[in-house]
Amino acid sequence: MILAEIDKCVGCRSCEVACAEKHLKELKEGYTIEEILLNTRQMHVGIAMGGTKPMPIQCRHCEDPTCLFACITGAMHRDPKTGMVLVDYEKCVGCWTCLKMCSFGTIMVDTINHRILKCDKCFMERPPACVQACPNNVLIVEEVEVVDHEKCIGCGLCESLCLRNAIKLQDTEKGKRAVVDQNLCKGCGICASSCPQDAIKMRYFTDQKAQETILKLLEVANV
Amino acid sequence: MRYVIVGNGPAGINAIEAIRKIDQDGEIINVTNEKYFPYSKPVMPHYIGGHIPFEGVFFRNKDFYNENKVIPILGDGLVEIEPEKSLIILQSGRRIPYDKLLIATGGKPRKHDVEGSNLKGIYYLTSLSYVERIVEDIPNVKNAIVLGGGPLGLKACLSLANRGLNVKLLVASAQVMSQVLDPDSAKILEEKLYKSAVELRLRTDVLSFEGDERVRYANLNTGEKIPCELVVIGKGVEPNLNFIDPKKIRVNVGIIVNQYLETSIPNIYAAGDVAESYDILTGGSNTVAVWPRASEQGHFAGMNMAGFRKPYPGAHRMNSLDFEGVSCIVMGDVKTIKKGFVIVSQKDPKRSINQRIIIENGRIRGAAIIGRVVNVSGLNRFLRKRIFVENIKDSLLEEKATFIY
Repeated sequence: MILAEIDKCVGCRSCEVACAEKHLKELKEGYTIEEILLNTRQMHVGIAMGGTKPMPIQCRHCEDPTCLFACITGAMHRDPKTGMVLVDYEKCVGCWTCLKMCSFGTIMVDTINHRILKCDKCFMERPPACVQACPNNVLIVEEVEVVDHEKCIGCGLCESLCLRNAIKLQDTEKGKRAVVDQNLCKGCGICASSCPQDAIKMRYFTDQKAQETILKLLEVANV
Repeated sequence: MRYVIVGNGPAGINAIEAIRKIDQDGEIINVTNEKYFPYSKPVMPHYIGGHIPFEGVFFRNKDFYNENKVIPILGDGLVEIEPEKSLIILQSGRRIPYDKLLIATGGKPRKHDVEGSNLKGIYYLTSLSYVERIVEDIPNVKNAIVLGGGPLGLKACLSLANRGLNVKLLVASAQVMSQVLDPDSAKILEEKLYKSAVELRLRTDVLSFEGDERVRYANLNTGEKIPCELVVIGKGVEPNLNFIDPKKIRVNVGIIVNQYLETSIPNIYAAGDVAESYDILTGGSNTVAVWPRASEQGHFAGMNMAGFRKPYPGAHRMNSLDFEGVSCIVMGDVKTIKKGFVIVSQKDPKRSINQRIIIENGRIRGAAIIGRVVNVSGLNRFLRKRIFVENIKDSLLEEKATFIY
């Protein structure tokens, strides 16, 4: 799962530049470098509401994406193989409906080619360009769901249940075992809760963590 | 379980996808009077202008029905619903029983009934078969007129002008997009029309058409007689309710639905332009024919039909179009201004930028963003969720700001 530790972010925009470089296909004449950068990047560094801290913002690849409801051409679609929400740039006519329907403001505009841009997680490259470029380790690929290969028996239940196709059976030294693709994992926890062998552990969203959060909230509220 | 979906617009198609997410085995039948695969009406002007190929108007791929195990019945519309027997009757006389029925028949064009409106060469912008005929006609005509200054009419103007026709746009009201835009914002679009060599005539309407077989002249209310061989009418749509018996199903302007998109009769649902549903801004119910609203309603109707009870949060009016480089994004209500409303605005006529946000009691009521396309996602979010923005209103139009709630 790709996480952002925004406390460390200084807003250097290295991730934006790396993203633009990664997705740049041709240099159009008559445009400045900055214009080309702004119209090629698929993510951006923004300042959240009412605050001062910058943070990197990429597409969340939502479960029920509102941008998909918005698209009048069908250019926005969910890739059946990876579960990512992608755009067919040939079909996009630049009507900007998805732009305002997106809840997170992650959709970018390419005014040169007159279409929208959105994160494709650099397809098969792992980790994506923005994560590689970050000098402060703000963007990190973090293992959220850890599979214990001693306990895993390779039954494949998690593979059939994963909404993101992020967990797959692969040949390892110990035979067929479940392996998580951290690039696609959203940390939803379905695989962990379904595992009959209790082989998958969630590192962040444990019951204990949830309890601690509730207690902390109660403490703050002086109940 | 047999689901029958009437209509293959965004509401119908999203309902099918939502049902298939939950129910893999149920039988789905898609009935429609259209002879085409699911196609997108707002994209059709782009096809007229030659910006996209014919295949571009279809918003799902050709395998959609196979992939989702749907039985399509194309070119055979719904005529009657018999809720007592749980079946529907089609034009061909075919009777189809259902367990769950979704009415997503969308809208029909508002007619412009004047003398000579049946002549050849007069088309409504609501069907792909009309659009195909428009494209066939284009090489043989010189003068075209477009009636109606809504988003679809404006896009059609630019498309026809792009094909080298002399285009006149006749708008009955005093500005373009009179239902959604304030006069200042409309000015910018009007200027753009002027630059694209479209002749705009405000407060003008057609009283009658003249011609032999094909339309030749239009008589205007100003007393003028202008030549035209092609007329495109885009005066908006109204719910398509011909087959509904108001004694059986509760109907106002559209079919009245509750927050689960259910009509007054059990197991019958309605979604899209045909349904009259909750509006976030007014608190009442209304019909607004916009794409995202239809697809979202279809999605929620599908979820509820498949047994996953999920209330529909409601929608609000929104439009967005791109005007050859000048983008125009409107949400909520920017027309009404009352005492106590705060207006946050930014203007730069040179770069055709005009942005205004209307704030009522600290909450966004409407926004019109013309020219530049940032921040709209946050504004829409604030509007939808009715978030209190009084203390951050100065930063709403800042160029660097990104709004994450």
